[in-house]
Amino acid sequence: MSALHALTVPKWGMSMEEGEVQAWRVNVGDTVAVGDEIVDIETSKIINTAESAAAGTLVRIVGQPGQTLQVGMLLGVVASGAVTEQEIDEFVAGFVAAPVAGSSARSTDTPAVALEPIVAQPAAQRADASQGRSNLRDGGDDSGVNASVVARRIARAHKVNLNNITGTGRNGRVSKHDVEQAAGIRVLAAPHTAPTVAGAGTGVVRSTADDSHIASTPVARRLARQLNINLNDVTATGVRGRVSKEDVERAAIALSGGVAYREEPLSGMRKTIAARLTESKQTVPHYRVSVDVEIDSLLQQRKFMQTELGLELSINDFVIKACASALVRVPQVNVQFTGTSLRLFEQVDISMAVAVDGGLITPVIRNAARKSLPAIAAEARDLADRAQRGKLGMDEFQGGTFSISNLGMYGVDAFDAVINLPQAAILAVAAGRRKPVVRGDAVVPATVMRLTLSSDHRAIDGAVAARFLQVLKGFLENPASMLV
Amino acid sequence: MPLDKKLFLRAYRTMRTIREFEYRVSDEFGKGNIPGFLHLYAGQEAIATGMCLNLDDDDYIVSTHRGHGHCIAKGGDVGEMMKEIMARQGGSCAGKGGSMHIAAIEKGMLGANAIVGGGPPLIVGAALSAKTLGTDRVGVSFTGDGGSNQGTTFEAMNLAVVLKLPAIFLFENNGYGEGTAAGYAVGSKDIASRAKGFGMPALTVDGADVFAVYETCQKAVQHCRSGKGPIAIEASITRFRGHFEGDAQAYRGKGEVKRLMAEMDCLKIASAKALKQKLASRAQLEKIDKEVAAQIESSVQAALAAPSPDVSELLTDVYSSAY
Amino acid sequence: MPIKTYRQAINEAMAQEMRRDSTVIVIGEDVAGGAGCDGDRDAYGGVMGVTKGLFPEFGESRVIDTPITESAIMGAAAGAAQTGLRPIAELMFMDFLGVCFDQIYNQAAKFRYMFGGKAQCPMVVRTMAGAGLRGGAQHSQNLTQMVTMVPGLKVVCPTNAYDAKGLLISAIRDNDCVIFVEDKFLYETSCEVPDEPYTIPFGEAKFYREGSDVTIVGISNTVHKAVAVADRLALEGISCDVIDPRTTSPLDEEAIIESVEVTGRLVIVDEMTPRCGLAADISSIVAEKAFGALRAPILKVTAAHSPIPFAPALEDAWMPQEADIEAAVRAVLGYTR
Repeated sequence: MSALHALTVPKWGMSMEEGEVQAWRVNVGDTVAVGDEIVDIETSKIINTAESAAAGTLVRIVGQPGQTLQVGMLLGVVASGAVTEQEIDEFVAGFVAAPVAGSSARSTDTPAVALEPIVAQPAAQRADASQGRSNLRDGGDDSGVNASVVARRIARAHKVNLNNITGTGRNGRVSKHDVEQAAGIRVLAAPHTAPTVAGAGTGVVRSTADDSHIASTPVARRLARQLNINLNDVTATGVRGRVSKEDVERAAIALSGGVAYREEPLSGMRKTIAARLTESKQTVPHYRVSVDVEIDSLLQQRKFMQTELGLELSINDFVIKACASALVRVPQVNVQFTGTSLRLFEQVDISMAVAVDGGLITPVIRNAARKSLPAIAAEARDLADRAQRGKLGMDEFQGGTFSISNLGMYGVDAFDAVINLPQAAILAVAAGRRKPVVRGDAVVPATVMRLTLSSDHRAIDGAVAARFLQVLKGFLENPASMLV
Repeated sequence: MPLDKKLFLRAYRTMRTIREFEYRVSDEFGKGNIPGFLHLYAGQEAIATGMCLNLDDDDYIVSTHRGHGHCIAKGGDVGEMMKEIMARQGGSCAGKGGSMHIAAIEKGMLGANAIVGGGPPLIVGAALSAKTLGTDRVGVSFTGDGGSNQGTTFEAMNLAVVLKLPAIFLFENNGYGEGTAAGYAVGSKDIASRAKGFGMPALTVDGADVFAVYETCQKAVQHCRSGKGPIAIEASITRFRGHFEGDAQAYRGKGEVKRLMAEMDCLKIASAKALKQKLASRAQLEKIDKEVAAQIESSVQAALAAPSPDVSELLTDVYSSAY
Repeated sequence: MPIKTYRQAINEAMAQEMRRDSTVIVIGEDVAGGAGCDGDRDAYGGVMGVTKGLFPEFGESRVIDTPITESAIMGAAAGAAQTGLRPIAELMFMDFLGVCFDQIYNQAAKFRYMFGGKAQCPMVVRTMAGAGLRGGAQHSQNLTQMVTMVPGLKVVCPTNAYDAKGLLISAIRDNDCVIFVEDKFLYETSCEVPDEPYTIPFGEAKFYREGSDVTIVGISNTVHKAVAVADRLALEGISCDVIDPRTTSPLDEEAIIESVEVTGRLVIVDEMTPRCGLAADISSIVAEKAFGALRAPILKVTAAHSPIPFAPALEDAWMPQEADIEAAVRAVLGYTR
């Protein structure tokens, strides 16, 4: 049994394909135990910390901060006994071929080493290249081998001895392709992500005069026709004074009163938000039910708890607690629609939407119905704080049986939210406002907060949603009942 | 030294071979068995023959687009030539040259050159090799009256004189550069005197008389081999065919070709003279005629039976080594 | 190791090969100089002094002064190469290609192929190219693109003394017609050059710098401008592969493509004019064979599409300068779709 263990990029959730190494929490030479947090990795969702799957001494860091590695790639090597540098080198070189399962931090099936900007070659190339791969490192001085500059560079980075590669390039030279083929890798440039600034213009009156005499490229004329742009309105900058396609495009922006814009590539989080909310909005039959809740009593209680008990509670904490209580009373809302069944949860896990830089994330307060209001408050504050710092653990924002989105702090009167799949309901919480309300025959002032529940009609019927809101309203308007 | 019996029979066979070859090539061209362009040497046989009888295999010649005759006279293999012209495997240039680039490198025939005036500078180089390497080889550039007007030819003659090289500039004045008369296009009218202007001796000869051509060329070759530098020869002649096969020759006078074929046929002139001087018997000549006809016939049949070059040969011999 | 200039390295390559092989000759205008004059022989040793000293050692039978007659020089070299010599023919300025091109591209380049592999043409045409010396429209051109496009020719453009010697020895020993393009800006540059003869294979590019952000290919002297730009950008953390193909025919396409696969960005610098030129050629090769690797459009930095002007201000504007290269590198780095 080998004394060396590979630490590989773990797969956190179904959608994770790659992660960027942020920072190592341990150094080469440190002792690590199974489960120790060893390195921070940023995924499209979050920064998380990978744990060691092996106990021993960290003897090699392979994944350097800033590198994006695919799931299953080598992060580092842990030794459980005394080993030599050469043994470690061989292990790293051999890892390319070795099946990862069993030795990795978490089981994956996509092996490959990453050092330079790399796109790992998936399964197809791996199988046929595996033969003799573990010996690639072996061999004496390879400085005399005829190899292209780039091939030598890659071989060096991957500890491949060029004596082991058969050159098929120019004049029998070892090519980049030869090294890649032997090592089962593919080295390509990283995608480019710099922002840019595009067109600007001012509103212009459109011409109607004949523009057939205006010299233009055929493509420009066709585009202008498609965009309903008269070539008289286009400033020609093309060859020999001709209107070019670019001229028409510029004119199109100008004529539409277009403004300057900046184009930014999508972050991983933005892509995830876009994909999941589009899926929800397009596939889930949403409907909304709203209710106004008077919260003067709640505010009074809150003030009392603060001044008399020293408890810092937000309105949202009350809403979370009330929702949890209401979900226990109306469990038909604490459900998920799977397509073939209805999943009814016995525990209430409340996801709360937290705005973070560049998107949002939904940390979960587990078993909220069993937690006290102060406990919920403390947990909510901690989760929100760590969410904004990107320090949530993967298990802290995955799962949840019901979501709350609160925009009350922005003073909004009402809004509705898109269901956070695979959940079946989300509550949108607006601001509490002082309003005139009719009580009996009198008009009296009250602090009114609009709650809107978006529900998945496949799982929750209207009457159930209404019943839930009724119960929720009852809890919020009579806060003491939450404590029962 | 004039042509003796033995040499005359060689000369006659060569001229007859060229004539048969050219006429047969014309026929095969008409049947569609030959792609591309053809420029035939028929009528000019005595010049190539008379010159090459004075040369050894390791002397050099360069030729023109009208090069079949030069190639045969220098010893080129008729079978390989036929295959080449018919674009078949086994052709002298592997099917990559064709009629206009016919060559017999191993016999010192450095190639027909389809750039008019392209050859003279090359023969200066061949003569330079001979001089530098200290051999007694000579280089002969066959050029037409058309080629005599090209700047490359002037440059070649001048450099040959300057470097005193064993080069012979043999101008075959057949009266036409394509469809324009030499009398119009050669400003000096007289190519030999033009060569003299470059500082080399120049001889003139009746190109239809193989005896005269042989003796004139002999003088020229001796001049070169003895290290006296370059020399020029202007041989006047006519061509029996057009500039190219298919040329209607509308530029030629009425009955001109017919008259010249009667008056200037080198084969008729040579056989008449030989029979009269008892250098050969009619039977001997008829035997040669038959043998040549059979040789040409078999070369055509062999060529027709040969396959086209393999497409895998497309990129071979562009370079001497892996590119 | 001794330091030698580009001029000395080329001279040494010729001298050593002439000693080694008696069929090697030098032929051209004023390759010695003084022929038929009352003064000194070897008065020039070539207008740039590159062949100086060969005449005294090898004599007039192997160091041959000619009239001003480029067609005959090239034709004679080609004919001599076909018949047993290994001529090094000098075409004084590459601009003069026009008066002898037939002998190079219709004759020398085609012998082997046109005659079915039975002929060969082991000759070298040494010529001098490059703008910036205020030589005007007919003494400044680099026409490497014109010879590179001809099948049968090999084209070498060394950018330093070491390469010049090794590549010239390879060229002299090569059995094909090799056009050896010397950049007149480089004659005074120097580097370590071994005394003994050595060869450098054709078709193998040299990497002057290695980097990961942008690939810059420079032809002839422009590669040195590219190196200067790369070194400057390195201070900003921008790293470039700077590649000198060394021979444009054969071209080390593989090295360029491999580099572009890693950097995703390509700038080609070429002192020749932009249309149908080497920059356009390399650009098309990369677009065809490494399209998927490109992260930005390929940018060419070439001379202007005009004859080369005389006035220094105009000529400087005509040819690619370091600022143009730098701007192109920044442009490909800043590019987004």
